[in-house]
Amino acid sequence: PSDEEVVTPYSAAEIERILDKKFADGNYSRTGADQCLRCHDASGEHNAMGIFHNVHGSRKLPGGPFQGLQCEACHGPGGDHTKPRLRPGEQREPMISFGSQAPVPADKQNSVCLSCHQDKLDHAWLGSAHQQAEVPCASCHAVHQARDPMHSADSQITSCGGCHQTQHALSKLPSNHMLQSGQLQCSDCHAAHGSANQAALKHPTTNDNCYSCHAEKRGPLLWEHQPVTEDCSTCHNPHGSINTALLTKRPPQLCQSCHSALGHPSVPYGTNDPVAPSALFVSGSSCVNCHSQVHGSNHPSGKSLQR
Amino acid sequence: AYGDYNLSAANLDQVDTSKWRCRYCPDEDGYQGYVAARLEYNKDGDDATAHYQNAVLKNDSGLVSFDAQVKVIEETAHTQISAEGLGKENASVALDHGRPGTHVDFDYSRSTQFDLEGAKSIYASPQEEALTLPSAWARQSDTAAMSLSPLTYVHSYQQRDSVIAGVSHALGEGLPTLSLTLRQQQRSGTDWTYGSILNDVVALPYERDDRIRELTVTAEQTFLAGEGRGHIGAELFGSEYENDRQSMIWQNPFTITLAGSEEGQLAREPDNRYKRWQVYGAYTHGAHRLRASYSRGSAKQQDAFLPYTRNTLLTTAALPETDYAGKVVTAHTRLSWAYRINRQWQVESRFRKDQRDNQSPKASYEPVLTDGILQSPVVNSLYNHEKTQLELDAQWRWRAATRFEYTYYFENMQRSGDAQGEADTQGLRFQWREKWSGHFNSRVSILAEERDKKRGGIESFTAGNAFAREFTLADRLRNQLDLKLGWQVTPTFALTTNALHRDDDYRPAVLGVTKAREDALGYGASWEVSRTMTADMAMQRSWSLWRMAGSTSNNLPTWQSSQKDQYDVFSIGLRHQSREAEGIELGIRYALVNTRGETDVSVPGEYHDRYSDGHTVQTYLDYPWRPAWRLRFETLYARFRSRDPMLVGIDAVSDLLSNAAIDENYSEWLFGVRVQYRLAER
Repeated sequence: PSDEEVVTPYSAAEIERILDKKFADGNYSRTGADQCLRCHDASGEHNAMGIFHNVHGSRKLPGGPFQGLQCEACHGPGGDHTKPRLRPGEQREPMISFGSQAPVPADKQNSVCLSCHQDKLDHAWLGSAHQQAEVPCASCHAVHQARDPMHSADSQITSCGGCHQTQHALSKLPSNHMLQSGQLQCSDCHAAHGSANQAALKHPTTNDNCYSCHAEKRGPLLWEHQPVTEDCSTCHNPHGSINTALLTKRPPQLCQSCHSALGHPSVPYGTNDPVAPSALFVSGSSCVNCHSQVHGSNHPSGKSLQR
Repeated sequence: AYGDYNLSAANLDQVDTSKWRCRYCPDEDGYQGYVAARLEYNKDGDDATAHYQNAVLKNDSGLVSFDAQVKVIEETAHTQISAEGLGKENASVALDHGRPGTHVDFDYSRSTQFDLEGAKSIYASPQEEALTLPSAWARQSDTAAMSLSPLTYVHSYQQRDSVIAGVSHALGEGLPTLSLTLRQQQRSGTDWTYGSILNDVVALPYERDDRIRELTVTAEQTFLAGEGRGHIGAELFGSEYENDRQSMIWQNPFTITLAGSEEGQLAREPDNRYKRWQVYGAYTHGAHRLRASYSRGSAKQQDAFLPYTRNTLLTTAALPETDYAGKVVTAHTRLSWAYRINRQWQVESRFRKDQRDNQSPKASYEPVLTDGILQSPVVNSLYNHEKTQLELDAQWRWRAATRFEYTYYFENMQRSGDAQGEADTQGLRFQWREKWSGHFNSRVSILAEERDKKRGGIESFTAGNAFAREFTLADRLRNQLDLKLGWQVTPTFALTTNALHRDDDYRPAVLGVTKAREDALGYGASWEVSRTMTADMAMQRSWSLWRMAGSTSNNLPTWQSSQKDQYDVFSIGLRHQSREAEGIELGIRYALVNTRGETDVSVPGEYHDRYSDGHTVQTYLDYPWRPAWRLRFETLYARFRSRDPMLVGIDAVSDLLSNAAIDENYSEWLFGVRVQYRLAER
């Protein structure tokens, strides 16, 4: 456009005000999606055709968007947005857009999604960590893509890792939980839409989550190891670690955070230190060399977790 | 306030959609699908240097695998069947079928989790019983002889076969939805553990052959009540663990120093069963939401006991029982209330209570230590705990661009049974989110937490013996600062930064962990180069420090140690994705992962540092070869070096034997070609 025709973008507040009015007026288009897709087809700047490759674009989905208001079921009434021609300098009337960069507050964006998703999800969302952090649904979910990134293990870790960068980095360390290879995904343990449990875990406790794949640790065992019965994360970092077996720290120091070093020296071989040296205690897997049944033992001689 | 753009309220009667044709919408009826074949070749330049060799992928191998997918859409139903990686170690098959009110799905996947294609042991192969030593290894007391003798290669891997089958069915309007999910995981392959007899320790490969079965049945319903709506449900969850390997026996590879102690025996994990029922509900009325759940479960096992020892020269007492009728009861209570007062304020409170009650029998046992020493009778300990948490949270939007959040939380942890202890933890978290402009935002989070040990001590042990302190209940002061910045530099280029500082102070503790610190710094960049090309970069560095003190007499510290860990993760990638469904796709990604772990005990004879350096470069090109055909070329280059202390076997009397390190140093190439044919759509 020439200098005289420079279009001043709407401010976020103006967009919100216009959208509030549009949603209240309910001025829907006359031809539905056909009107929208004249511009938003594959050759357009904002290609929307990907929706037809997933369930949201299906006309078979009972109660789905395309059995009703089609595009406007989510984007709201078209109103003047569908005007064929604009005057010089005129800005096209905004429609609601979704995502972390969208000008409309997350709660307003999400209210559109929650209009239909009124099941457990709806009841869990309010008060969840992601709702409190004002995360728009569209930050994670891509309604206009053939495959929602959250439904694929390899793309889910990338999406979640965009915000949870520390956990994402941990998942790439040599001792990891196979998140990068897609054998496990974030949603195997966490309920991203909200959970009454700590850290939005799917099962009531950390241990209950771990038992889903490590049920052998559930016991009960004749000789229990107390911290194991309480919280696996006392010793393990489930997202990844530089130490073997996802250990938060290395033995013997890890074990000595509770256990006395008396009689079990932690100084390596080859010294004259009075508490030294026995390779048995510190080399290799250290304490676990002998106390290999560190998660508990069912052997009648397993009191010291050696059997 | 919660339903700003609630479209379900739109009155469709006022909107005439009868003439909406949607000529752009594709015709869904019919089927569509593809079949694909993939040829890959792995060139492994393994160059391990120590006693252990660890190659994650098999040396110089090629294989062919197949993928397929068919999707059928009928008038009121859809069905999709897909298979991926058939012919490979990691493969999956899935079925998904849906029709109004009913959904059925089935997934089978097989994954190889770990593959030590060159691991060595003094044992030839994993056996269920009595791992037999090669003759050259039996009763070796000479260090040099053991070190010089050849070790035996063991093919070590773990495979998990997983099946998930589920069905859900809505009984009808106003009636509940029932769902049933069955999940089975079968693990097979080889794992490693250590066996010890008196002063001798040896690394043992063993066969894993076990199964986990889970069944989840739920009935849930949403309803309208008053001016609000609710959701109630009940769930029954059952889990069963079956282990086909109940014990493991091995021979002592070194000189026997106690008469008869030639063989050791480990008890493998016993079978167990767990069942839990849960009732839950939620009610939303306007801007209020109430949520509650209660669940109660019990875990049981009753496997037969092994003998105290296999040492026939020792006369042991009779076992008090032939098996262990173990039973643990758990209960979990959750309550929460959230209230969105207006657009400025939201408050929430959460209450959680978790209980564990070990109701297993107690009896006196007379263990045989290290298969050679009779020990005086000891009664098994039962550990119970009860954890109560309360969180109060308030959010205040001061203005459109500024939001504050205050969270107070309290936790009471009580141990009972044979381990008495109690600690209270209180914390206050403050968060400040600011949108400085349409392009720049920040989030600051400050946490101060104090844990106060109320009581502690292990009743079953005399003071100053095995336990010096209760680390997880110990007094601790934690301070943490989190910072995140997001900057949309241009409409197509964005930068993010995150930083973390956490400091744990365990004063007044003088033994055990006294100090811990963690710092992390990360950067990320994403660039939409064009409408079809994107680039991204991420870098994360973390440092952590752990200080602890030990004592030779369990009172005043006589030595200090520390662990310093550091890691760097860096990745950069470029991706082109065509706007057309049948266009060209290509990408390249480089990733670097470095880790360092240093243990310092301030005396000569330091621990070996552990480290790993990994580089990978991954590329792909996917393009339409001809109508209905696509070709995909993939390459992967990996370079990996690491050192990790490890041992094969130790006889502590005659000093160190066959100590080793997993010392990897390898590079590998993987080349793949995939050809896909799209089935003609109907």
